Amino acid sequence: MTDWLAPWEPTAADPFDLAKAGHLLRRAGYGASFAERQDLVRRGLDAAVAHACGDGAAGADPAERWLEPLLAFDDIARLRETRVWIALQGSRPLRDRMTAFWHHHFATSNRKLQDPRALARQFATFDRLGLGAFDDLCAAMVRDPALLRWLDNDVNLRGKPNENFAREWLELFTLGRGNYSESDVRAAARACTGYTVVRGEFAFVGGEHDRGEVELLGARGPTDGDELARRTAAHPASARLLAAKWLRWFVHQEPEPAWVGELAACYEQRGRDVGATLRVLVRSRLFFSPAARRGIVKSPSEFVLGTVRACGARAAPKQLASAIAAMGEAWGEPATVEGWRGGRAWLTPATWLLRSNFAAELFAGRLGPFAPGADALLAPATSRADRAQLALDLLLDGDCSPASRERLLAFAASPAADGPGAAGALLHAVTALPEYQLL
Amino acid sequence: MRAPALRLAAGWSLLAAVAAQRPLRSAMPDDVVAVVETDDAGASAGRLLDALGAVPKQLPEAVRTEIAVALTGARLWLGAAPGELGRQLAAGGAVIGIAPRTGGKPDWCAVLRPGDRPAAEKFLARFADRIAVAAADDLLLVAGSPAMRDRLLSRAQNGAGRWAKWPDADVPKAEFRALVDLAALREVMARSADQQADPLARLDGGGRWLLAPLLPALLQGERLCAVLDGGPPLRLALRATLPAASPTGPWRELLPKQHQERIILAPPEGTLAVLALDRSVRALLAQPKHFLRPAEVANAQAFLSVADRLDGARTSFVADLLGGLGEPWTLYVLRGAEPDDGALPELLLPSFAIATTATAAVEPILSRTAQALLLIANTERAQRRQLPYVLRAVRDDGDGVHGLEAALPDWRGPGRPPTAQGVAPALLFGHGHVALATSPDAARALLAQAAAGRTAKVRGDLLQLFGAPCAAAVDRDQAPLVLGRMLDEGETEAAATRFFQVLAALLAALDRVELRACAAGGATEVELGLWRRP
Repeated sequence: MTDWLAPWEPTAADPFDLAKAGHLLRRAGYGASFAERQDLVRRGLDAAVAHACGDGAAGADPAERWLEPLLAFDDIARLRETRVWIALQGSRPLRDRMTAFWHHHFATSNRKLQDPRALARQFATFDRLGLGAFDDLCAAMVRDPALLRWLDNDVNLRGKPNENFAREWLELFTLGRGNYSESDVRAAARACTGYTVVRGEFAFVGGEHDRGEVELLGARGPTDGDELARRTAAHPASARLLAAKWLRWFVHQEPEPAWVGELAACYEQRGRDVGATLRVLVRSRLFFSPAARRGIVKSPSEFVLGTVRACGARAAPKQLASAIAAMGEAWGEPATVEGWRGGRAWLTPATWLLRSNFAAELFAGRLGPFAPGADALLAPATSRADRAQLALDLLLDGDCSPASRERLLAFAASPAADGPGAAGALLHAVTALPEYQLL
Repeated sequence: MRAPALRLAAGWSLLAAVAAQRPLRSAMPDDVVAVVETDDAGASAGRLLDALGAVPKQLPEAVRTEIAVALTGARLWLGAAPGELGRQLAAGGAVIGIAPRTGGKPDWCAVLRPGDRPAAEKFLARFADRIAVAAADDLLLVAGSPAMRDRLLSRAQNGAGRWAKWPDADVPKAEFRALVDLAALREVMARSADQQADPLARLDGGGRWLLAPLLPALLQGERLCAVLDGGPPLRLALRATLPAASPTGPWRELLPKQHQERIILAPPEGTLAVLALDRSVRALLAQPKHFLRPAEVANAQAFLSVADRLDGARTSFVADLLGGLGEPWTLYVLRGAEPDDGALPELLLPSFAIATTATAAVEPILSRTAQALLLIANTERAQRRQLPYVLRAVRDDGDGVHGLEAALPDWRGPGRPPTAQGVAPALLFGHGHVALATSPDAARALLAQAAAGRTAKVRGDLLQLFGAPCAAAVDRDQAPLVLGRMLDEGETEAAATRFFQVLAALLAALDRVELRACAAGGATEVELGLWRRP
């Protein structure tokens, strides 16, 4: 193992503190309350990583428990709200983040699918297999009814191959551009003929499957979708594709090529086990290095859910899901088959305004219940300066530039931060700081 | 012994305004806009508590414990049981008045005729730092401030004010009565800076259609009388009296049979709810500009432009289709139909059915329109790659019922069927009636009532909820309901679960709840009645 991925060990000069606990839970989850962060600091780094990975999570898995009632609604909005609710529970932070990751990765849209139940089951597959071996996830996804229909594989028939599914499988889901040829696409399409959906369930229709010999990724012979999944999951290019994506998701928007190679090797060494690889990553020197801190633009879900969780508050998932969708991250309806562009694309003048309006409405209690409210959150502080510091601690781990701190203190001393609604205005002001837009 | 903290103002021998033959409210100062009165607080409180009955056994144990603790705490704080305290304070009657204050807390005052004066004075002495009390003859005058007490005394000494002129005919016998001087209240609200505009203006077309015939009466009425009566049934009734020439707008024109009793089909066994509104949909859609705002008119016209084409260009949706149906219609909510194949959806919706009388001429129009709508629905389902509804003609096999039924093919997975699987539209005719329902069972149940001549009489608007079937529906669908509440309200699973457990328990304890409303002549009456199960 290289230095980058070696475990980071706290020292007296560089301890595992509130800021690092916040960093861990923001990246490997959707954030944590002040009390939760304090508790994790007290328990230490190993316990904090174990918590993020959901080790020993108590009680039934909420995603599993509420799947059947969710299916009853057959409604894409309810699916989004349920995912928001699960993320707010925070019992399995990394699992929930990875379910979102896989949704961004195997981006499937209900706009075409028009089947929220199939999409809910796809999310359940991500919940179940998202932190396991990638081979298992690929084996499940090549038979996933939502994905097959989304990419037209239900009309991929012997003698009339439809390449849509096969092309995206190779380009977006496993190997990446430049790691396969056009003849591989045609061969993969023929391999997947007969993989279809009947009455909402995967069905292999033998009569429609092309049993002819194909040359796929350098190997010749008859093949099928399951074999395609096995070969592509085991392909070295797939390790690099995933490593780069994980680094962009967890560490930095523009990862160094060397980091990608090291993480890909780590992933291969661990038998392509996603959870084991990510456990190394979120415990690594790279993850806790200054280069990684505040190096990613928050997605709408990270902004919205992170704000609520940082406050340790209770809020209505319906309103939060609606806000996330309005900001451009409508779960279940990704922009394209490539998912969301993410990164800097999340921030535009329009979406920045939506973020600001959301925070203002949330802290003013106009987005349904928000408890404890802004006043209660800042009640422990007595002076205006103390309140500004507490607001910074709650939402930014007290970690911001001197210029931002100065601006916030000036705001706290102004008449605008006085009287009823002052606490909400102060918290809103923190969420408007440049640092707060970064994960 | 009189408590030292209680300082009574000097009394006088005779309260001019409260002569024995006059109600206690005669003593209320003129700035009071609402009063609550009772003839015997002890007996009334006792009867109301009897009507409410015991805490329902079906409530979760934790809730029952909380209620028991709260009741015990309240009794300890009061120093006596509510009935006994009511007797001590006001066995001979009581009236409490509220006077709004612009920009401040409202002031209040009360006139009590105690059943046990020493006990009453002792109780009031506990609040000596917050209330002002005067004694006169057999009465205690109590107020939230010395100034209010002085106005109470002044009114009493100077003779009857405007509360003495409240017509007794407007005040029915009941345990507790609330009288609101709506005209005076509006004057006060008009002075308030944050006074909202006409509440009707905030409602959309549908909301006004539902409430507008009644709401203007409450908004423009002179007097409002609300009574709470132990019954049985436990009854809350409101009656607003309109001035002689009241500008009610066009909405009352939607009440086609004001003040007349009409016949509806009696709710079949297992009905969850009945909604019988005394309104005309046809009148609304025939003259949308007369009733609706410009944007709503555009929506109505857009709807009609499509609706008029459903049965070809020669059929008018309003004149021919709605014109062939008797109005007003009645909406029934019945137990959800369970699919024949036994695979129950996680969320089994109740069946909704509309029933009314129909002419023979409207039957083919309705049938063709239903087929056109089903074709549209099936096209949309096909676009979603869902299997289509299969339409079946229902022929009269001796029960006098015929029409159309549509159903989805049997569910074969994956998992349990979706909620839509429990919806099977039906349009059935028979016995002079038509029933349009989300399940054939519901339509047939209503036409069976028509065949058997089982009817009920209704005047004005009626909403009935039947406790046990509603409780069973809440119980059955609890998991999705809980999830929905967690998502909508942000509640924890425990809180949301408890909410529906309590709701189901309360519903199970009720035989039925009825909300009746009627606008006729110079009064609008709204009455809420609750019947407990024996």
